[in-house]
Amino acid sequence: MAARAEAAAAAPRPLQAAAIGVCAETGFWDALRRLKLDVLGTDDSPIPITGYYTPRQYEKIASLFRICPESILPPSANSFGDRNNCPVPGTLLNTNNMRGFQNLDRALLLKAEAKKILHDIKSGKVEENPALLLRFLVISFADLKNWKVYYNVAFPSLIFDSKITLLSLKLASQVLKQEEATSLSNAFTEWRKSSETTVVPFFLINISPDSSATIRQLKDWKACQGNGQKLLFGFYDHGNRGFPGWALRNYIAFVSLRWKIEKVHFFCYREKRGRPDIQQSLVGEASFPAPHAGWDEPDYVPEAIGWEGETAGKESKEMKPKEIDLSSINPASQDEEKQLMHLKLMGWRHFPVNLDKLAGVRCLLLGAGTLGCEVARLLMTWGVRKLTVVDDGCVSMSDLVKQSLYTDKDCGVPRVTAIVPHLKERCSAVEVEGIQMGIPKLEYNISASKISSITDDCKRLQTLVDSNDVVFLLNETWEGMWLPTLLCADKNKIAITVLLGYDNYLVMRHGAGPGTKSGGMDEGIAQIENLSTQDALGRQRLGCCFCSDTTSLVNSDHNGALDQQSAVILPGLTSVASGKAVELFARMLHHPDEIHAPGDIAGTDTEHQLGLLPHQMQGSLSKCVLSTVLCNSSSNCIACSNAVLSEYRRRGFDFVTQAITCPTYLKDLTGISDLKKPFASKISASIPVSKTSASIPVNLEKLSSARCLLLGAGTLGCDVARILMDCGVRKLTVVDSGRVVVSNLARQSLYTSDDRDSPKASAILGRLKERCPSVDAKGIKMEIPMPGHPVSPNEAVSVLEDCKRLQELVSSHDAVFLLTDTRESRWLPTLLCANENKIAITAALGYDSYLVMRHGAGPGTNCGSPDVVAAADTLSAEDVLGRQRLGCYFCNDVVAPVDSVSNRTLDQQCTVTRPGLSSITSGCAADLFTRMLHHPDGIHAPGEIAGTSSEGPLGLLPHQIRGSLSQYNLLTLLGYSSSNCTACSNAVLSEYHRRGMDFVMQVINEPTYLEDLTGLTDLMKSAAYSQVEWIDEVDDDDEMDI
Amino acid sequence: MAAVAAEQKKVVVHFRSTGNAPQLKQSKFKIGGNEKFLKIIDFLRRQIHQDTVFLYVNSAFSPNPDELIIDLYNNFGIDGQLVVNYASSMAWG
Repeated sequence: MAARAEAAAAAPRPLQAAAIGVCAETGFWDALRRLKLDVLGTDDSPIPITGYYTPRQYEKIASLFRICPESILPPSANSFGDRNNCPVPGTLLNTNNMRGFQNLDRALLLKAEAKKILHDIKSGKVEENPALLLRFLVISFADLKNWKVYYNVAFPSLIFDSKITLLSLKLASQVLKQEEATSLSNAFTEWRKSSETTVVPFFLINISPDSSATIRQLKDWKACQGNGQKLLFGFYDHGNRGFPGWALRNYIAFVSLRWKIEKVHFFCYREKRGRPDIQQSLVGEASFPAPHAGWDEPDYVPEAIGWEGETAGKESKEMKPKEIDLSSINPASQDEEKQLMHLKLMGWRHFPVNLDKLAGVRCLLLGAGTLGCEVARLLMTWGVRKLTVVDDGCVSMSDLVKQSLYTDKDCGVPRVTAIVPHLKERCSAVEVEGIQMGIPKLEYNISASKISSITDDCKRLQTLVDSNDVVFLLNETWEGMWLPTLLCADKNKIAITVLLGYDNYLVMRHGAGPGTKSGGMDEGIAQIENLSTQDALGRQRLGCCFCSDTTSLVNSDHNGALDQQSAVILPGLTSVASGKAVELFARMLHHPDEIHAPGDIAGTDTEHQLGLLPHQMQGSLSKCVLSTVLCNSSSNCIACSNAVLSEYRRRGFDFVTQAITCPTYLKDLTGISDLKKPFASKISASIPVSKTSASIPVNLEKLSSARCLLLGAGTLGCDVARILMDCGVRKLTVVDSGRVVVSNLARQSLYTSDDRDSPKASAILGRLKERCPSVDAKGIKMEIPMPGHPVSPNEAVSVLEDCKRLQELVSSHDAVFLLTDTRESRWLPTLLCANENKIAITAALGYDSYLVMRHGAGPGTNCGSPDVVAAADTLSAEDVLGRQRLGCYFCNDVVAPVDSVSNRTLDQQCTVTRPGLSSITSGCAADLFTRMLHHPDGIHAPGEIAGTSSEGPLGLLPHQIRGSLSQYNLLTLLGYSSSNCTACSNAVLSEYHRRGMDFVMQVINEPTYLEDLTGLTDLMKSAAYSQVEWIDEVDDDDEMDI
Repeated sequence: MAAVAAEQKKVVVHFRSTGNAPQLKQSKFKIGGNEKFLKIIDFLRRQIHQDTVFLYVNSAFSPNPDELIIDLYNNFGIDGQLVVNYASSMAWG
């Protein structure tokens, strides 16, 4: 054995070095995940990090290079290590998506790092900080959506045209004398004790003729020159086998290039349980002739190897990335992090959401009915975690379809008892309290025995308003809003009112309470005088919901009728109003002045990234209008005027009791009675919300027999399905390929924690039946084939099967709702609907804007010409009724649908939209479908624009509805079918007629085929050809601007 | 070239952003009336570096890419210019 080792060690051969093993701890990747999510956003520039290197510690185990949570801290804060942690500088390159990770030019990146090392060698920095020779590179993709990380690590090693040759290699104990070994061991013990030197992995060993050993730093190189001394270049060796560690490669390169030494004696230092292990350390000799000229040029880029798993000499293959699953970290708080991730992602590209403020705000919801359920759920989606719900009613059978949280098991249970577990099972972090209590109303003819209980309720309500920051007035009656309004004005609490008529709604925030004036001697008069006509910031007070109304109390005589009427509203209206209310709340919370913020009006500009902050929003679902109204506080208001507030502060609940029981007391107090006397003959009702019921009966038979196909069971799909059931639709088929995950629970209204990991297609069925047992629903788990996502030959069979299946589904249904996550997934359904003349409705979300549109009818057929080859000529440019075809989702686009997922950053992959947006969009989509179904022409109905006089009995039937939450506008747009459309033009449809699924498969596999077929490619070329004119015209425009 | 340019009627196009579509530093341009609307689409796409944009005029009508600009101007022009609103394309569901 010894003889063979001796013989092997004697022969010169290329240097073989043991690769460094890396231990990238899970904590490091979790720190990166949080850094990416909270700080970096879409920024993917390199990040300096620190790794930790150590000599071998155990005889049979090589030491690992550590990357730990501290590695990600800025290097300046991380300069000091300890005896087992030598800090080493490195670079982390984290990409935004998997495609970016796979497309990284690894060879180029490695050379760039190697160039840094060479620069440090030539400039002498290595002598000051020898750890620079171990500089490392990490490339990664942190898949935050799936809580996984993919990464590779490299230690660049310089490569030149001359080779490092190993001349000899022996155990140190075979080379050193006994005295030398003892002295060296003692020297190492001292070196490792000193905190200054123990973190230096490269050093010089000087053995004098009298066998005494000294260890010096690289910067002491000149002092080591001398006669008769033996000089060894020592380094910490992580390895445990018979050849040196990887670090030696750059060390030899440094010694040769910097100090012009061609033959090097080296010492590989290893330890055993914290003590120097001279027995296992290695001593060797290597030669490295000087490279050819050119390496010392400033722009020289050296060759390099060093990726983990890469073998020297072999052509670098496709490196397989390592993969780490972060799900095992801290499972308890993981759910909450996942649910809030979409809010953090807003900050990447849009507005940074103040999550702490949202989590800390306390919201009081008065009313747990239709509006209350929706508002509570949307508030949770925004990150609100403290909710109190007040209601005095019980869940009834007719509530199940309307009210999004309750199920059939809740019938008969008080609403406040039923709502709490439903909110908790969607978001376990929420603190929700339910209080069963009626809101004292302005009602008359109260018996004496009721007055004491009313006073108790008033006090309880006051306590609740005091202990909450925001109050949502979601009662069903106008009179029930008076007392909460008074209390909020008195305590300067944010109050948001939502009022619903049959087809119109009002969403508004109340103004702040009055400020206080100083002075005033008389106690009686001082109460009124001390209240300012402005708010605490000296601004004009905004009005409350009673400020612009002087006759509402007249209607209170018909309280019973009012209750009945207010319950009759269009399905979908609740979603629209709730979405706007919650967005108004979130916007208000992010305004620096909060309750004192002045009101904005649509059409004005704001620099705030969340957009305008209106005072009131009034809209009509059937007329497709939305207006923002600004109204200042009225001195005659029965709820928030100074006269009322001062009386309340003076007399407290005696005042409240009198106001509740005496019909004309409030009007006398505020002066409304006096104001009205001279104009008695001109009294006109100005109730802001119309309460007239529709006179046109809804065709329930048509609705219940319509077969609706919903593509996508996510945020939009859940809402649309529920609202369609509320409309009376009883035949639903839902298609989705995904599974329910924890981040869906708050946003997608039907799923609960019991549905986690279930396929969405089957989970939604149970939830729909719970709310409406008579619904005939089917769920199909299927992926929609998409253009731009090429399929491999073995996948082609199943994809073709899916195409045919989708075609059968479209054929057997009357209407198709496109509610998917990507543009390209809507292409095939659009084509199939145009081909079969089916109603197609697209609902799509941006960050703060939405689109709801119905596609036009398919083309009609020209008479004659039975030839199949001339199929294109038989398709007419008009529909079957001879009208111009309306456009589809793709008609106004000049880009064919392609893969829009792979290149996305994380915030583009997740559905990062403002939480109230999907409610608004779903309500509009379901309502558009209902009106379309009632139109005599059905799918052929022409598009109408808001403001025109051609409204039918059920209201406007537009082609497209586009709205924006930041600018509070609502547009009804009209667009006709384009002959270059990639989905519904005659060129595409005739090709589909002729070739069927072969055509579809070609579109899927060839991204540019559709653009060629429809002529978009030629059209784009003709546009590009004449680009020069723009430059001249821009210059002309400069003159115009002057 | 100058003579030919003089014969063409040039239309002033005024871009307005909607929603969170990015703003243009310069919002008015001139373009030949005989061009197709596609050119405006393509120009705007390169200005705001987005592949999918949605354009409409007069807050009511979304033209096809192959319509002539002079026709749009004659039908929807206001005060000597064609106001074109643009928004980012919505896709999520």
